[in-house]
Amino acid sequence: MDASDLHQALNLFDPRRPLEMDELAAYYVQRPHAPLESMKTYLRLSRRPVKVLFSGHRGSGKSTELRRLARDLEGDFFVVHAAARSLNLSDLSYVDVVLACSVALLRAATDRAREVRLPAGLERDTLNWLTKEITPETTIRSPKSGTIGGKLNLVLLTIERKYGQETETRTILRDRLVTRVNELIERVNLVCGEVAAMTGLTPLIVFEDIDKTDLAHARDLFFEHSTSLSSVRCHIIYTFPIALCYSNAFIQRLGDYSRHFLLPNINVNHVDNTPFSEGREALKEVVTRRVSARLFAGNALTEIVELSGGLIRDLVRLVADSALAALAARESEITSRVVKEVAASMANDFRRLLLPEHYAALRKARKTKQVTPDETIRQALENLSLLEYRNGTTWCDVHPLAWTLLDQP
Amino acid sequence: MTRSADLELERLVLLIQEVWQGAFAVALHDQMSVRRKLTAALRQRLPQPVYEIGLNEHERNPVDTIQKLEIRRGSVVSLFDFERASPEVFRYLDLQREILVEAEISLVCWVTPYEHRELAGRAPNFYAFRTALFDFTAAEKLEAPTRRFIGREREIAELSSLLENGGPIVLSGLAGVGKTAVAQHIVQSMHFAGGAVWVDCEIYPDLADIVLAAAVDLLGEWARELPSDERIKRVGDALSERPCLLVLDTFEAASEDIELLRWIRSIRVPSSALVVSRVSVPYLGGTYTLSQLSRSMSVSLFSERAKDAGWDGESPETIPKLCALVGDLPLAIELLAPRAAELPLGELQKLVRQSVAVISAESTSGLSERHQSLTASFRLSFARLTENARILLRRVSPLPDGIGGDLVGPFTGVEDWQSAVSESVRHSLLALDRQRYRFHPLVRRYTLDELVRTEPEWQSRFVQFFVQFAHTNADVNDPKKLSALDREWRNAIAAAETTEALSDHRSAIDLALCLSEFLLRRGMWSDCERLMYRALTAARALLDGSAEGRILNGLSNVYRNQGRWAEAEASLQQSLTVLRDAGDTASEAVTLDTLGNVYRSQGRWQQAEAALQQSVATSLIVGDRQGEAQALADLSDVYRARGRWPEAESACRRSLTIARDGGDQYRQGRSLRNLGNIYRAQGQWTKAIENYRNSLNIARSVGDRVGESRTIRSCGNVYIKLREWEHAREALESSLTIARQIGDRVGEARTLRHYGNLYRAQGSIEKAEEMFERCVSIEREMVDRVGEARALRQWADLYREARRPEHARTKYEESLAITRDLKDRLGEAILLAHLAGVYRAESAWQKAEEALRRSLVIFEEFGDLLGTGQVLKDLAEVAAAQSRNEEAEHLIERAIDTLKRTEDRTSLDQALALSEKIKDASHDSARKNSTS
Repeated sequence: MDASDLHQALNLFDPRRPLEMDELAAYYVQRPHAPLESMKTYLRLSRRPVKVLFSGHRGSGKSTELRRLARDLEGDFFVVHAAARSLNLSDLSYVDVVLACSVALLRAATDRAREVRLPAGLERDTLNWLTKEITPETTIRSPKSGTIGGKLNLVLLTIERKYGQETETRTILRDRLVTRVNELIERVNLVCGEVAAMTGLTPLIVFEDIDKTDLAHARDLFFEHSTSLSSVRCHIIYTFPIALCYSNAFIQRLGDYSRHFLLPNINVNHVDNTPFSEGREALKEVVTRRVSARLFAGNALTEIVELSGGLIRDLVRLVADSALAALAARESEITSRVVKEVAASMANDFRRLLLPEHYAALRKARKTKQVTPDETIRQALENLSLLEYRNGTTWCDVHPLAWTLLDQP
Repeated sequence: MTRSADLELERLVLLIQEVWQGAFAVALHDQMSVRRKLTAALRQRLPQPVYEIGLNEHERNPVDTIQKLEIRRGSVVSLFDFERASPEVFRYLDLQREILVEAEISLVCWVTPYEHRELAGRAPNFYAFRTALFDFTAAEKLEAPTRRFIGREREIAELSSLLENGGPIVLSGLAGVGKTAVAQHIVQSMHFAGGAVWVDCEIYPDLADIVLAAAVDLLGEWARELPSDERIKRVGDALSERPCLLVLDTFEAASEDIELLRWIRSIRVPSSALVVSRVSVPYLGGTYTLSQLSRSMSVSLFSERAKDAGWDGESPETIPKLCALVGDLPLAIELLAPRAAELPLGELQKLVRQSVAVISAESTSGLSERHQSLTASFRLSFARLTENARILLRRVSPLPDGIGGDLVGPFTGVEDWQSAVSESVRHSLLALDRQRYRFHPLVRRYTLDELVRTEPEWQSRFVQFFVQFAHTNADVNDPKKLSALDREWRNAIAAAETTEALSDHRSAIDLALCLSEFLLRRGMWSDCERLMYRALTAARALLDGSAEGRILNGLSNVYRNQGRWAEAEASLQQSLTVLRDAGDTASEAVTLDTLGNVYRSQGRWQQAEAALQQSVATSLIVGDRQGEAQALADLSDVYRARGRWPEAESACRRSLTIARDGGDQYRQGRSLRNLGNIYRAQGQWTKAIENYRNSLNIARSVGDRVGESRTIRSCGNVYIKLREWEHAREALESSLTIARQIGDRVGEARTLRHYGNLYRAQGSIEKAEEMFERCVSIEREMVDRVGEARALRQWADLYREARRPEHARTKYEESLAITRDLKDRLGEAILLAHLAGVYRAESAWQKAEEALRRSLVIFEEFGDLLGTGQVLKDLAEVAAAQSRNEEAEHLIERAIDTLKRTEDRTSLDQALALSEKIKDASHDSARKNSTS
């Protein structure tokens, strides 16, 4: 092993980036208990448009899984990506979500002219409606030249950009849309019908990042406006905050959506604390697909896998930080000593963030492997000190990096 | 584990150099100067440009700012001052994080511990994108600086001049105005030849406590062992003999204690007392009122403290505004100034203003402006501590007596507690005072509020810790454990008080049972009684009859030590009833043993014998061999006191056998000493010494310090009888040292009495007198009536031998009164014999003979050969003095016969000499008769 392997490890393990494009083919690992296959089957068998909720811990690999799902379903559906982050909003409302879905779908339909040729009347009608009914008080203008489809695409692009960046534009658009959201849905539904007719594929919108809005807004969005979120006549996968799965309202309102899928963390252990070899092997494979196992001396890789708690982003961070520490120490491989040092530093990170009330709740969870949903537990799930697992049953455990903190009184 | 600053910088540089598509780094720091220094170092070491973007309230979207700068990929952006930024910043970072990822730049977010929590909480998705965290806080951890006192020159000069005049001076002023700091400066700057004593009256509010603290400081650790009267006297002597300064801080806690006020008022030239109090104390006379700091002084104080913390001197024009904002209160300034190192002063000013506004709005009880300023400063300072330091401060806050460095880690459970303590001291939230970390009282109140708000369950942990602590250190015969309890007993008592609020009955019981022996050893009767009562209530709440019975037994020991016999007896009778109901026969046997000892202490021999026999039998039934051995040993003492030597020896030997069978060396040693005592009482010195030696070997091998001290003392007693002065002195000296080391007050009193006897035997009247006086003083304090009666008798013996009959008679009568009160027949016999000696010296033959005859009856009744022999000899002398020679001859023959059966050569020699005299007198008389 030489230092270049460590450099490679540092760059291939970037906690900020999910796997994309070719990486999916090269590095993607089928993980145990992942609902990907079930989701695919469910979507393929659904005759009517379904609205699916998809949850997982922050950093559990949701984005990679959804990208893989979209890739696998390219031939079966007209797949469109939408993301709350493009709206740049923390106070996300149902209007924003419907608009984002509509814009994404319309843009995809107008972008992919080879596959879809929307009727000119529909394009013109939509463009007129947007520019005359929705955007006249804003700085959004239709280009003077170009095809109708091109103009519509450009207006949609401008709406998307300005909605996220200009408060004034956003306020005006929201005010306009809030009373006319049904009109927008009707037009989008027409587009859905056209897309399905022309391509023979039902549109599937994969809407990411809604789970990252704050809980109050997410609660309002998913529980109070489920009808609006379900009105677009295509398949939609919404990412859904895992912390809300522990609310009573979730059980009551789950029926408003077609299905809920949870991406559990990869089990490192069984509920009785004995090692879960299938999970450990999958996690090892996540690492060894990208770098050689020889980069890890002795048990270092096993230790990293155990310490990750099955949380992909922490696995990635542990490898990257260990590679960095090894480089700093002028070593050519990642040793157990380096891993321990990195783990202690990451445990300190938890120590700085955990509040006293978390400790008691975590100790209890560590012991019983079960939790009673309350605010403290929701916060613990949110800050990832508490992780949820599924293998047969659903159970929780404390993040292994935080174990040492709990041993202290 | 924290890496050093150099290593962290190395890692950060490496990360930025090695990544292809940029990285997000979180850099934790606690001083602006550190951030500047490290950013400069990054510029120096990295080839790519390093941009600095300081956030402020107008900055809403840093992502937009970065985009507008059109920064090239690979560049480094250093983002800082998150606390100043608008809350929008976190939202934008959270939602637009991918724009930054796509820009392929390296972002270094410089955060203080406070900002770190904010960033992680308010921009969790952005935070999740961090590649690594770099900790530069530990690198700059400074030792707590030595605090230089600033300003107040005029006040210090005036106060010093007042103190030089002697007597008490009250230093008064509002909370947080800096009274304590001024007093501390006075202690450091003024010279008092006799020393200066600092007592915090919030912790030590009673006269006895204050005197104890003063005595330990002025006289030394040994003063702990002095009886309280003696201690007050000694401290008074020290204060009047040489110039001393006594500082009583937070006196408002004790300002209504009239006994204490009187004592303070009695302090005169050459010593002074500085009474530091928020409230005025008119009774003490002179008051010096400390006003608020002048603005210029506040500014100096702020600047100095800020510089100590690492402030780089930026924006000094803001300091007067900040001082004005906190009303120039020194405590508020001390809390705020260290924050200047990590926050721009303008920002600090804004935060204080906001915090005061919040407190003002939420204050329904109408907090004064001063309190609002103080609360705001505390909140600001506290919120910016690392989580470790906050946890540590909160957890230490229930301890009224602060905490020793050795316990901080185990008690708080904070792993890197040294850093947390250092941080707290640097930020003026804790102070190091003679190896203990303490709070300013106001700061403690705030942190306690924080604890109650955020970690109420910690109170249970606090209690559990001290339950364990008391349990571990319960053996008061171990000097180390005794010393640990000496340091922490107030906190342990506070834990016991907390059990009530927590309804933690079990802990209340455990604490009482574990601490009682220590409290009794230290003579803290009222503390012990309160503790026991609390435990009693707890046991009753739990319906735990067994615990209730044991507590009642413990309570009886409190009463017994104070001679409150009736209460002790009632408590024990109640204990027996409860234990019988609960079916706890083993504890019943223990209670019976205590009851027997209560009777024995009162000289109620028959009842004592019955109770102890019952205890022996009960222990036998339940198979409690230890209990049986203990009861037999106590029973043996009863027999010995009644002169029933064979029974005493038999009980003692049974106790010894059980101890041997059970391998209980500790008890074996004690039994051997008891056996030695039995032989000594019979005048069989050789056998006594032999048993003492065996006992001593065992006591030393098992570390039984009490046993060692007592056995050595008994040896000394025998050496006095054998007139081996040097051996006797050595033995007593050694016994006294051990008794004081282990705080054995009873043992100390007894040894002092034997010392008295040694000097008496040597004819050193004054020294002997002093020893008896000290002994009686301790015994009166301990309400040890048996001991007092014996000491008074021997003291009287001294006067009798020194031919001071009046003094002797008084002491004998005092002793006789107690002895009769205690129904101690054998003691009465001895006293009567000794009183007769006084009458003989005054030639009051009739009174002497009457006393001797009453004494003889008792000695004969008890079969006490030595006593009988000596009284017969004295009677012979009285008869001879009245020329009843025939009768005298008869009596002295009986005396010699009896004394021959003992090993007391001295008495036998005296009797033989007297016999010669009587014979000579008879011959003379016969010759005169025949001549006439």
